[in-house]
Amino acid sequence: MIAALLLLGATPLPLAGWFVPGGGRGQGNGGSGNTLSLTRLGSGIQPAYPKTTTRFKVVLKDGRDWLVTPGGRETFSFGVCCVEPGEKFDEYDPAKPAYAGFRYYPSGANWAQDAVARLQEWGFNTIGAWSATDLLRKPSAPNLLFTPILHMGSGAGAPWRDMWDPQIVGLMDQIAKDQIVPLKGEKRVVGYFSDNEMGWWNAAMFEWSWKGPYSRVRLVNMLKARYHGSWSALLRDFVPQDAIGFAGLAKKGRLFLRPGGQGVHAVQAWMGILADRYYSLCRTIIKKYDPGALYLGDRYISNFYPEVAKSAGKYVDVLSTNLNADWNDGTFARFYLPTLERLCQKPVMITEYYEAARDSRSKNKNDSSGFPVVDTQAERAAAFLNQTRAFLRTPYVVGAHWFQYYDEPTFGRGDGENYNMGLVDIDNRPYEEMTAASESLNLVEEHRRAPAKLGDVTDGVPPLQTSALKDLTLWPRDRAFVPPAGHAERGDLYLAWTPDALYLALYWNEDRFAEAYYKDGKIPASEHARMSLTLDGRKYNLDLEATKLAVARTLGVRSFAILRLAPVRPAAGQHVTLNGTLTTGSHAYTMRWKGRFTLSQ
Amino acid sequence: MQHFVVQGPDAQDRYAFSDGKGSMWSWGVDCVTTGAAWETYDTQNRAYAAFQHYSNAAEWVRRTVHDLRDWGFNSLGGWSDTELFDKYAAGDKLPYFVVLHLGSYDKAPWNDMFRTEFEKLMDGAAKDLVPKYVDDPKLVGYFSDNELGWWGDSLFLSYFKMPADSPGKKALVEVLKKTYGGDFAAFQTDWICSANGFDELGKAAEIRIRPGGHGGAAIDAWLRALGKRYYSVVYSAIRRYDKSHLILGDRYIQYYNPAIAESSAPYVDVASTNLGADWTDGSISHFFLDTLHRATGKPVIITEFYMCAMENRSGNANSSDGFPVVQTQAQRSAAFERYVRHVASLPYVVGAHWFQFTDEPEKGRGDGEDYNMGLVDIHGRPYEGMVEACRSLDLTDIRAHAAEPAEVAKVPVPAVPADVLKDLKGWNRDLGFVPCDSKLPVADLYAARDKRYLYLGLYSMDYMDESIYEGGKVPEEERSHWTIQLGDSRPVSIRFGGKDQKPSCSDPAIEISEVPGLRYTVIARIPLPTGTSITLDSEFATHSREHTVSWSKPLELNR
Repeated sequence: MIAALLLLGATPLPLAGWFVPGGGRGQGNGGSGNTLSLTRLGSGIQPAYPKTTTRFKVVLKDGRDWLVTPGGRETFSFGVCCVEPGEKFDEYDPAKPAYAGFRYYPSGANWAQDAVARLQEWGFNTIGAWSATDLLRKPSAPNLLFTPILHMGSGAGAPWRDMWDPQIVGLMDQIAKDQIVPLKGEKRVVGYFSDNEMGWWNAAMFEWSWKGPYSRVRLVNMLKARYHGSWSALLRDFVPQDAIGFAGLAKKGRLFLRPGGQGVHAVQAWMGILADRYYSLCRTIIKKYDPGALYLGDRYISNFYPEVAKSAGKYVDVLSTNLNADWNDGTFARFYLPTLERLCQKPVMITEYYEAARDSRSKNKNDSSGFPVVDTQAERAAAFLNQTRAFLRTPYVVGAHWFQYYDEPTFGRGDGENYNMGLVDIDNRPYEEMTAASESLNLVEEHRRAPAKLGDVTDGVPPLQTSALKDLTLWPRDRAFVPPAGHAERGDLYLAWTPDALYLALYWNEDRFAEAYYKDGKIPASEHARMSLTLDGRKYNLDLEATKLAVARTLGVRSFAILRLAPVRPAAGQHVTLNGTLTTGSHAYTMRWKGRFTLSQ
Repeated sequence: MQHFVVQGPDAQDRYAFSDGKGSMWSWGVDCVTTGAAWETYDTQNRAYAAFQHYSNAAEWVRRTVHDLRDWGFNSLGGWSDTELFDKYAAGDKLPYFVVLHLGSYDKAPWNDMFRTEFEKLMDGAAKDLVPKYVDDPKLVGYFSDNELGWWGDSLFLSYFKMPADSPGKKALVEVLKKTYGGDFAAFQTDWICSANGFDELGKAAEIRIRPGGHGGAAIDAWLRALGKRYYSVVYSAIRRYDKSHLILGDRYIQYYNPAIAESSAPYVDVASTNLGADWTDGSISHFFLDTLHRATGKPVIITEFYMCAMENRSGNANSSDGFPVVQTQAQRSAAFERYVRHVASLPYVVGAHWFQFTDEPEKGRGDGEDYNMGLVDIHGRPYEGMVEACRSLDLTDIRAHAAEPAEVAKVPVPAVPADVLKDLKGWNRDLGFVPCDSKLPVADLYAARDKRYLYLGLYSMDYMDESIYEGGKVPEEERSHWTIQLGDSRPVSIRFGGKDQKPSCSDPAIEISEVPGLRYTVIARIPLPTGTSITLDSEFATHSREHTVSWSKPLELNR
């Protein structure tokens, strides 16, 4: 309780960057008022579907997106995932302690009654994905919102398997129908997520596209148009296998990226076509069975492919993403949400976020993967509150769903995940620090205060402790953030100094499984991520996988590199001129930073 | 891998299951399940729910296997939680039976079973359900369905109404043509129909039995065709996915038409029927099981039997219809024991499955059934009397003495209590049973007497759908017909059956009482003939003479 009271005054941690009202975004929703903003000014994205009258609406007002209830109330969807009874009697193993509703309540109905009462008391208003909707619908709770997940794509093999195959489409339709039809008449359903954390891995999807007869023909047609029918033009970007021309390729064989070429942009264009297909199918099917529902996207895996997100914007009503904090204190990379929103031009919903502590009463090990972990429940609650507040203070975020209701089993779930994720422990006891934190939030008031003011190096480049050099955890990331020149597609740049040197930290996303692009299954050095840089007149052209200037480095979906540069001996008051360009692996994305900054104390 | 097979008949005409290591008389319990699910548990209608008494399903399985064995059971009957037993008692699993409900996938027998779609649906259902059991030596076999609606008159009318081009209607017209040897005039002596020839029958939708004819025989022929279709299709569907486990019929609904039972014979290894006691002391008729065995030539398994008491710990009101109810648990366990001893002593019976493991919910199941059916109450406590009765049964010994009853030359007519006209319950039915001369009887006849009267009690089964008669009412001459002739006296004619119709008797000196139902009781009180012995000649015909039974036996009337 005490910890939570102290947190009330906490400043939101950096998240989303400046929001500039009117800066390329609309002020209204085109006047209809009954759908979300289909016409954000300057978006350049035209809606690819007819409007429907939805129960809930998404409205852009005074520079902020709001979820509006059927009664006309502006709200922010504050939800919890996996509100369900946990282990079943038939499967419960006392040797593997886990949350199990049957151990605490005489019946599912009693469990639901208590869960609904608790969550509302704790300030939540939404039942997130994977919840026991059937049970939770029963208690009277007119203001409780539901956002079920359908798994309509993954259940049918999409987006990897051939989405033009009528059998796959039929299966997607069936999966959605089976779940939506029973909820007919449930006015509290905001809308549906089509899927969760889909494998939009472009190199892998490119590989799969050759396996489907319908997708292969479409891919070849797209390439033929893109290269104006010139096979030799295509060969500058691609290495073929078992094919010597477009006609042959339409039947068999496949392509790999040619190192040094620009084929990755053709693949990106193809990803846009696949995504168009996926999102248009999902939207059409969901609206067929519930025209009053919003289509809430497919919950990205804390990482997105820009061309996919851009396509999604044409079809979703709200774009959703799970968002694992980039650092243990519950803070995020600055580029992530602004890029997402800029690409899709839609409000964004955070569909999972996380924070675990080592002192969990469920004795969770918290070590199966990369979720943020702190020592105590007090720290955990602080990070939870700061994350929630960061979302509330992002103008285009319309909801945030905590993952999850209860702690994972002591010895891990079936897939090994073993985190202290819960609002309650495996014995159903609430973590009071957490529930006090959620209770303390005034959602509407906080969202009205968006955007939050965030810092950056234009107010002075911060100094750095040399002990902070092994990663970005201890960097003053708020002050060290270098605003991008133009769009920061997929990365942040931070700048700080010690009396010995200037330090540049790059934090960026790479494509997963990119090695599948290449014929020998390895990424050639020519395709590594590179940073070209002019710093106070000195030029650098660095292979980020190889450069000796990196004092710390991790490469993966979430990559970072800390570069030590010593063109001068830094001192407070000095000026630094910087002009840098980051090109991610396979030349996929480019982003630039440029400016003259003053080193400060 | 050795699967269960059927052994027999041996020198005593006994049958049994065998797994290659030993023989088994299947003594089982239906619905051995964890009961109400926590997710849907209704605290306002308390029910057996394992989660209230055990920390997890594994513990429940261990305890349940232990208890069932301790009480003497050796099988899990239909609808048991076999997946849980698989999971938690794999090394110590009881042999079990599976109800596939194949026909239910296509509302058999009501949907047109002659569509090729029916075969596809049966195949699809079998494909979904069967393969997971193929290699399990603990599976005894499959029931293809439970209590299918083999209602002759209704099925005849329903298929006759099908469109002319439907496979079902075509099959029915073929059966009729064959039954009457292509002679439409012969057909017309039995049936009232607007058609002027067999080729017009397809288009006709309405048909009625012509009083005085033999339409019942055509209905039987049609039931045989339906049965052949059903049993052969489900047999092939199961066998496509499982070459060896036993196929055990479709669990008749305490009633069957012998024509259906006969049609199943080529396609089942065992005939199965649900069968509650005919009388609340736990006794049952002779004809029901005997005829099922003879009609099929197969051993018989009883797949459900019941006995309930008003005195129970679950608050069961036993209020709906159709199951035997007594007052006390002591009466219940005595009746239960009597039933088991009786059926186990029939050489052709290979098992009996008690329905069910637990009492039904306090205020009834979803369908309203609210009976004290359990070995354990809704709180998970065993009924001591039932457990004691189970423990006292020595099935090995009972089976050792199982044999066909000896021929009776004369029936020694026993004396009966005063209230005999009510029903047959209080009669000495062991002594007063009159053996019949028919191969496939659908009725029992019992004799009793007091100082002034001879009582004859008929106990039969018959299903009549009165809409098969013009005006929806069975004409007098088509009602069930029972004739009695004692010595050289004038034969007495008794008719009964039909909605709101009283039995009629040709002799006003004879008083008739009845207990109507699917299994029907009629008692005739006849002034006691003179002499110490008299020959009884009697005949019974179900409505429209579909089935007949005859008796000719001397009765001993010791004064």
